Amino acid sequence: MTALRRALVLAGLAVLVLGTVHEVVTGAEHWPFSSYPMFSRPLQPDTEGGSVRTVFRLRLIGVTTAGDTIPLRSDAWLAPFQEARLRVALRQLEDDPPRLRRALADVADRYETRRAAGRHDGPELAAIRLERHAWAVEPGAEPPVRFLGREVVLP
Amino acid sequence: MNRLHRFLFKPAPAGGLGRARALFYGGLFLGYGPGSDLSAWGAISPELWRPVFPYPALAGPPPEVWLRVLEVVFELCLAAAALGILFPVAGPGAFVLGWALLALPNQFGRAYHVDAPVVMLLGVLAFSRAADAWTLGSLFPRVSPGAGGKRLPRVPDPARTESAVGDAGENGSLLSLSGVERGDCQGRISRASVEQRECFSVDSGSRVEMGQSGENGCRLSGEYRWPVQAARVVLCLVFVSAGLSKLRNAGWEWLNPQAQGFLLLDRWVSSTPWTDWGLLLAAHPGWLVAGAAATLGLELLYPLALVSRRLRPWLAAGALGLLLGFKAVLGPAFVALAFCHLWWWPWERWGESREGA
Repeated sequence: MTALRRALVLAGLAVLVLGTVHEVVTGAEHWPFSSYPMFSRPLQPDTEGGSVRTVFRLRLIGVTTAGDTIPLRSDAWLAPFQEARLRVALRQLEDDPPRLRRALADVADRYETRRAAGRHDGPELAAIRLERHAWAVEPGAEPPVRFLGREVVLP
Repeated sequence: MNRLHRFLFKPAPAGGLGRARALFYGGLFLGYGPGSDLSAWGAISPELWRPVFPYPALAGPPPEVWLRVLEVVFELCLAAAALGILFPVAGPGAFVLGWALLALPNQFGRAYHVDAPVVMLLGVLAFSRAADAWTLGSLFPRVSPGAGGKRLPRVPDPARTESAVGDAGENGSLLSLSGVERGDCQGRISRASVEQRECFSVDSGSRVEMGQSGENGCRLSGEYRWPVQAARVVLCLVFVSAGLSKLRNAGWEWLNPQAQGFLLLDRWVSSTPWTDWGLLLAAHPGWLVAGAAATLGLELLYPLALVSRRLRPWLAAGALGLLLGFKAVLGPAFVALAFCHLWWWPWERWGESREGA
């Protein structure tokens, strides 16, 4: 190996290391560099000294042509999204109902297009809606998770 | 500095890197190749588009048809790189297109990290000489005479190798059965046979203990070591960053069993973990503290695998177990990161024992 080539390798490695150090120190995100902060923030109880935490989650619900409701969680039904990524993307539009409505229409169109093409075996849907569900979670309690109810964000 | 140079550039055989390259790109081809449908992101509504690096200037996802073309080229690059065909083009092509395509899902909702180490490893390998061995050309030299790196003359009589003597030069050297290929090194080849395709046993003094016969010469160079070491550094960056982020964002409070219990229950409600073990764990503070401490300890100590051969298999296996545990109780599947752990396997020694058998 030439000295120049070694220097280039060292420089490239320095970019990888320093780029990652920058992300860790600043908490910034310049993909593919990252501080990998997943699950790094502890979840606190609702009240000081309490032992219960309320978890809110958006759920995408399909209404079949027979009138039944089914949670849309399967990767095949939501592709190319996975449920978690789609949920985050929809949550960012909660304060903008027109855009949220267009985004949900897009999800419904893709579901139906893929179903018609035989790319999943989900039921035919008449409507799709977004609900916000709430659970109370309490480590060690029996049962540890209590469903608190749902709120329909969009019909 | 000398230790760093030895760490990165101590001469190593081409075969170890070649095997790892073939497996790595081959696995990526299976994972991201036909059937993965990355181009589908081009059809998503712009309402959901939240561009971050490297797409901040675009108002919406690129057209699906463009992405389809790029995806096909990306798949071809992965396949060619796995086979060692046109690697100087396929390697950088896989890196650039992989960066562009694998970044695409992260423009919707938020950035995830499951594919980030893969892109970094593609970047490392793009500028390496990973296709100097274990290529389609070396398996079928008459079909692809230009592939497989520099070819050394075939020596019909293995007995001649007994007298070949020499050391691998500091900068690496090329040895063949007919003796020393380059004038600046001398080597001692202690064993050879016409069945053996490669030979790789180098001690700390860069002494070649075994020779190679057959079509290819025995190549030893720092060029074949630094990509492996850099890949391992990337894996260390992932784990140690995750550990440091926990300390940065939560400090030792991260070990608090109540917070960990909430986390497990939160994930059980909102994600799709394989098991309901999270519910069981959440009721036992002692297990939670032990699990959290083991996770944090493993992430922070993971870089020791770079310098300790004794700890390396334990740390790598522990990390794989950790990723499996994440899927079992938290939900997310770090398949790509687990797959990248192939870079910890001592491929050069594996090849030696298999071929020497």
